[in-house]
Amino acid sequence: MTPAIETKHLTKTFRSGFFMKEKCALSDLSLTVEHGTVFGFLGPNGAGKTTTLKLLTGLIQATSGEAFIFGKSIQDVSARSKLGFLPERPYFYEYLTGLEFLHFCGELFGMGLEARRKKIETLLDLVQLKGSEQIPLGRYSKGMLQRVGLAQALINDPDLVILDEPMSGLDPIGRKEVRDIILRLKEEGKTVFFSTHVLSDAEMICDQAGIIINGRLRSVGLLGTLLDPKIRSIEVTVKGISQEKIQAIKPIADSIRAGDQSYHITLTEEEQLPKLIAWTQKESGEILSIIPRKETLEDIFLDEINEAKS
Amino acid sequence: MKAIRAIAVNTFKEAVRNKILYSLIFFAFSMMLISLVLDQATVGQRNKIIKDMGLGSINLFGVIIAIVVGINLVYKEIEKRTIYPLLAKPVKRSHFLIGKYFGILLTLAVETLLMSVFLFLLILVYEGTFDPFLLIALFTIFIEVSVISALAIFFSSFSTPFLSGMFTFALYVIGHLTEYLKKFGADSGNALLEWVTTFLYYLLPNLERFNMKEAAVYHLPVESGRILLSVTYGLFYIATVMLLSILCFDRRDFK
Amino acid sequence: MGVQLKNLRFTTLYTWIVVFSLALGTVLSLNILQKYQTKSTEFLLYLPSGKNLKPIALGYNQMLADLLWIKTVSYFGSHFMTDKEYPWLFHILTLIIDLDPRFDFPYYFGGIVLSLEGSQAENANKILEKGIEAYPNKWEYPFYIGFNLYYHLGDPLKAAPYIEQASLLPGAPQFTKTLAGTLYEKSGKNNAALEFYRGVYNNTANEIVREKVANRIKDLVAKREKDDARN
Repeated sequence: MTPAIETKHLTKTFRSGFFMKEKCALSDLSLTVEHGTVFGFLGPNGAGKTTTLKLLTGLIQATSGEAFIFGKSIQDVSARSKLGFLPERPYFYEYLTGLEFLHFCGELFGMGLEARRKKIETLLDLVQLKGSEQIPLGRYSKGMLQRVGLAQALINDPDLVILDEPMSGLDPIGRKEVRDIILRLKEEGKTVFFSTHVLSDAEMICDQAGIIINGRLRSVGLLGTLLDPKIRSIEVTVKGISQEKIQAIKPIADSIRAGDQSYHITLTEEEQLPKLIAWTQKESGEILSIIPRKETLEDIFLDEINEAKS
Repeated sequence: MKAIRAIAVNTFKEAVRNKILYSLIFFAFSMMLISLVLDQATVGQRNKIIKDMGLGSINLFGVIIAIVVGINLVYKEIEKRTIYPLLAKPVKRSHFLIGKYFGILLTLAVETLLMSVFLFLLILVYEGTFDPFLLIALFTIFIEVSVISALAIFFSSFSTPFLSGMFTFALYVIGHLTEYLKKFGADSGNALLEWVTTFLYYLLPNLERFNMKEAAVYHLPVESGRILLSVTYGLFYIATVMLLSILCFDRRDFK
Repeated sequence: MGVQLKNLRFTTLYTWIVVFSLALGTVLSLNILQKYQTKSTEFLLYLPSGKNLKPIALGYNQMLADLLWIKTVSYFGSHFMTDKEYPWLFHILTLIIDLDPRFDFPYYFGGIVLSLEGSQAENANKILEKGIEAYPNKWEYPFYIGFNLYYHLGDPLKAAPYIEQASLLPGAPQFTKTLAGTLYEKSGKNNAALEFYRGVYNNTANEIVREKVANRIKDLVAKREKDDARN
């Protein structure tokens, strides 16, 4: 089966400023997203996520390389007929009501009135905007705009849905609603490709993930395999130890920070923990907390950025 | 084709739901009403002032609306990012631009029609007659504002509204002076200057060709060939400008 | 409650006083400002010639001409009531005519008012010449030129051809038919007068005119024979 998205050496450079200095926003992206998967496109802000999505949706043109949606080149307008797109922080015509806007979107796909009516009915149910469809979009809240944005992305019953930061700027309830919609789309057998810089969003719904940093794709795979399951560090907070005595810990501790009558000690090796506990009891100190820290997306970002720098 | 129609209707809706349009139309109505008073206050050809001022305000406010709406059409969509979900659909950029253009034409047509009806009613009440000669001038006014809105779209396909507004207005002014420009070059006796002014004469829109206000008010005979050729010229100019706009717009990246 | 009501009334009164004082200030300041009002002649001073104004009109030639026409009427009115001097009337009328040559009233107005009221018969005739250019079929314009030449400038010889021109145009009243002849006679051009009368006699169906003209021809022929005999 043809993959939903396939990119080959996709590169985009922007020229800006007086001297037309070149800036590489995306370099040599080769990526395949199989049909039916939920793919999380992860990366810090400015890493090239939005650039990739805009390339795929035809909003900008690649400097070099090529990309295909269901086997059709993105140069071809018809490649977008099986595509739904929700831009980042969507903003729609504020003079239209939600209903008018969705009808307008349907018309752009050449849908007839009856087909539009039916589809919009089910979409309003899906994104829970029933009752607000007659209100002008200018009066919609951020969450409502995001939901009407999702509805417009689904108006053509797309096989591939591309969402740019679909959960940014939403409250926890809003995030959950968007997650539920994505999972429903997955159940319906659709491919969802979305970008985010928040790991927890991705962790809950992604089958696959790619990490992009500084315009380069670093790693692709199942999210679980991307993140190291082992404990990365342990933070121990102790109390009742004098400043002179704490110096004895230095050899085993990664760092020691002084707090309010307490010390935060970071251990990088798990085996050192029993030693620290024993030592604290011996010095008649008190252990307030032990927090193990697993590897997070932020750690990977930081690692990758550091790596890129060196 | 359905996409062009949908975008045109949407553009029309946007313009119609904008308060600026109403204030401009209101202003034009007031100008026509003032002409009633002026006509009373002066001596001379009866109703001349009403017709002059009526045609003049329809023309002037048509131009203002064409520029104000035209320069914002494309820019606003990009600025407010409303164009993103649009172009991510199977909609050609050329269709988007053409739809936008038809939208502004629809707006201008309705606006011109509204003001024309008002003018005819005014003359009917005041004089008790219907003057079909005015229709020629009104029709060519519509062609003129169509050319101006195409220019506004052209500039706004690659520039900011402020600059597009300046450019379009400048072309509107120069567009009424091209005959003088050509004559200036011909009278100068300088071959190079003459070549330059002739080049500009064909490059710039010759808007004076769409000015049939005098003929309409004084019932001067207008050859049907002149009207037909003016319309043909207008259509060619519009098509050229729109094609250039599409070429500019097609290459544009929406960062 | 009572206090509140009192306060409210006080506030309302206070507001009204402020409004009234502001309105009074507006009226007074405008009143004083009127002393400094510039004369309309100064507005006219800044107007360029009609040839230069036309390109600036951007196709709104007729509208601009109308506005200038209204200005003309008020300029004439204000000076008619005061000094009866019209130094800018010719200039502004030329502007209007250059902008809107089909606008007929400025020709009448300029042709009559400039010579009668403004004692500028030459300027009046310049305007009327433009009128002939725009409306070659109106008998009034050449007639007024002839009238100005004869009555104001005392030149019947120059006036006669204009009157003759007027008499040949549609709608010209019958008296113009004999007037040109009279003018030729007055300037001593009896032969020209005779020729004119004969032309009228042959081309006019009106019996009264024919009779009058026939009398004139008889007189002139007799006069000529007398002159010939004397020589």
